[in-house]
Amino acid sequence: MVRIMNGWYVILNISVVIVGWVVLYTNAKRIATRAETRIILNNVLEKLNTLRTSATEYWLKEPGELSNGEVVFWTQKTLSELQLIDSSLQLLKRRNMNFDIINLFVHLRQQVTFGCEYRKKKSQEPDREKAVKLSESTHSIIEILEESFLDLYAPS
Amino acid sequence: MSTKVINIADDFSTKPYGRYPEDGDFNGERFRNEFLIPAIRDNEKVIVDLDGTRGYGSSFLDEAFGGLIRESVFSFDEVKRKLEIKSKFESYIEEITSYIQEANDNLSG
Repeated sequence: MVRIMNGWYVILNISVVIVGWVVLYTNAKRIATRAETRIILNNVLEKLNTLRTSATEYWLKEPGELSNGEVVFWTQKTLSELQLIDSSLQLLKRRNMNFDIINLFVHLRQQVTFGCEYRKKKSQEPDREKAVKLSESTHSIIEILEESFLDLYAPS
Repeated sequence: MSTKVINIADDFSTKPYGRYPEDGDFNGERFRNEFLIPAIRDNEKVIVDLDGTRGYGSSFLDEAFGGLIRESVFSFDEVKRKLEIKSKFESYIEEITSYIQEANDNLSG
């Protein structure tokens, strides 16, 4: 009888250790995943802020301030950055962040790039309305992403 | 049924840019006239693969795709039936669809 009890005691001890290890492992994994996702998110937010600054400055340039070469360079650099942001957003989705910002992102790309080729023309006045709108769109995207992160990883 | 696949990066340019020829060599109007129109005219299905470039500006997308309807080259139904856009970025598909729809709305309205 004592031998049977000892046997159960050993099994119980091992089970407690295994369950404890699984709990610790799952928790550590969740913390690590959270930290990784936060790093990717911070990177996206930084890129969005840089884009906002760069695009706002671009659309507020005075007539004739930009050469053709500068316009082409800025546009191509910005298109690459927008695509990179889009790519990072997909990465965040694959990490279970749940957000729907396709329309907002399309809107942002339109505000940043629609007609940007014509800034080289001397008749192009600074477009303050566009600068404000693209800034608002960026802000909305940032807000949604932050909320989505908090939904997934509520602060403890 | 004939299907034509156009890969913009391979067949046109990895740096498509601008709306009109004065914007650059690889503009939206040129892509529409030299690639899209002949492909849609001569095939039952046209798949445009957007992947592999450094990105697309809204002016290029609007002129290339919205222009199909705006310039009355094809009807909205024909474009919808024949044209398929492929991209790992859903936002491009969404944007192109909106330009085609908008061009049609403007023509009808």
